[in-house]
Amino acid sequence: MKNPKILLICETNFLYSVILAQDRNCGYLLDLASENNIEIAIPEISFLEVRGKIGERFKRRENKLRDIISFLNELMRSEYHKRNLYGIKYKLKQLYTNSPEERKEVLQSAEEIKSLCITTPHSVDIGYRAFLRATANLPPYKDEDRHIYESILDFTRDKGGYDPIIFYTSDKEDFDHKEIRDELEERGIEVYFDSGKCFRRIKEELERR
Amino acid sequence: MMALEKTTEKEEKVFKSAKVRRIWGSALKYLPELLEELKGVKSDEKSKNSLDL
Repeated sequence: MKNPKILLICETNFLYSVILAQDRNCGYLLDLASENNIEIAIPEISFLEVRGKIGERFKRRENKLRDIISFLNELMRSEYHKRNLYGIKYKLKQLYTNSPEERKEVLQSAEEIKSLCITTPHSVDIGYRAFLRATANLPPYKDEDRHIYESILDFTRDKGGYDPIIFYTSDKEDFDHKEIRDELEERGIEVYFDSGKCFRRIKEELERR
Repeated sequence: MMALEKTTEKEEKVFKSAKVRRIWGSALKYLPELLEELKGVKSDEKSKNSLDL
């Protein structure tokens, strides 16, 4: 009988780890997914979170650049400043002009990660269960994390075709709670907070096959 | 900036997939300010050093 596939579930921090080149193990894991050795599932809401953050950061940068350039314009009314500041203004204008293209590149990277992974969809039911979780004061305690977590629970319901199912997150503060660990253990989901240990576990599993 | 890009380029070679190599560090290259508010993201020493330059 064919071996069931390894399913790795990640969340928002995994995306940041890759696009910000912060954790090579996450790059290796994505490499394994691109070679079809494992499947990586990431909640849709995580991609939206990253998209929102990238867009907001570029907008903030553009606003700052616009303010500086208009201040330079005021200074450059004098010939003295015009001579000294021309090069700086030119460079800043270039940064401002390049911003939409750079934003496109970064967003494209997030889309490319998406193309290598399974996107677990969000739904009204997931939102409702996240609300119930908040009412019951159950972890994770941050709103987005609750949606991410419920999305993971929803996706792994009746996922018999995978073995093992592993949840990796570097966010120990928000996800390392007894209630979460118990709930995931009940569903047979292994949890890793360390990317190195998670990568080793998956490598060993692949070598064992 | 040069040093920062060199660091990510060096690490890119580690990955087999061309897609992963392209994705790796794209935000660090174009949007380094994103790092400052993402304290939860694990960072290795090399990347921290490269940001200092």
